[in-house]
Amino acid sequence: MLEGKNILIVDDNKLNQKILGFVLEKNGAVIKVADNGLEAVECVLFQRFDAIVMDIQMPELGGLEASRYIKFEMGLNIPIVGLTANNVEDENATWTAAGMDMCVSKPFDPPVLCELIVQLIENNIACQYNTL
Amino acid sequence: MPIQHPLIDLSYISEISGGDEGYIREVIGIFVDTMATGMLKLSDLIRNNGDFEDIHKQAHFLKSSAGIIKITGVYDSLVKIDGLAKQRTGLDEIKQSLNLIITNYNEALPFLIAGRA
Repeated sequence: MLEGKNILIVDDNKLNQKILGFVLEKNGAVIKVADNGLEAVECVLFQRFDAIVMDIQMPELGGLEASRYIKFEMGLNIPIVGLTANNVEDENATWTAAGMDMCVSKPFDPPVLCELIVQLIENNIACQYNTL
Repeated sequence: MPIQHPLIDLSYISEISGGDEGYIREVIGIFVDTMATGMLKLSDLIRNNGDFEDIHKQAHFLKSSAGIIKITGVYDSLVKIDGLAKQRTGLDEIKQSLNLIITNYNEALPFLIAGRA
């Protein structure tokens, strides 16, 4: 489903890193892991990613701040899926304003998350093609 | 399945891994390590009247792990602590919830340790 896609996982929780990594790799993705938003920003400076899966609440630099920086300051058009331990609807306005393309509650449903990432990557490619 | 105990629910991780026992043991190991230091920190913050914001952040962090390997009462109590601390209220209720978490976690812990990698 995600064969050869480079995906950055950003989460300070080792357990979440392990689960996300397993699910994405099982679906063919090539993953890199960052422990917080600051590391995520450093990663996207040096490597191209097809999508980012980013926890919202993290130390150093949180997911909202990191997404805002990547999308609006750096101007990078990378699909970002937020992960939250809260109710997604409660935080709808917040993650949207931060530039996240979608947000999913934890613990996530693996097939739903993978399908969502595929759709966002495909939409992103189509948008880039249409603006050529 | 490496653990069969009425307090412990491994269905989520079992489904994700397709029943891969080696992987489940690895995940249990990470869970035990994460929860050990995390619970100590949460307990210290609550019992020594730490800042509500710090309690909220720590409960929120642990809630994420507790949603993956479920121990009866632990996830729900962390949700309660997270919510109350976010609203900066209910320290007595927070302490009661912490006691429930510690009681259930300590009962489950020997089985988790036996089932870890």
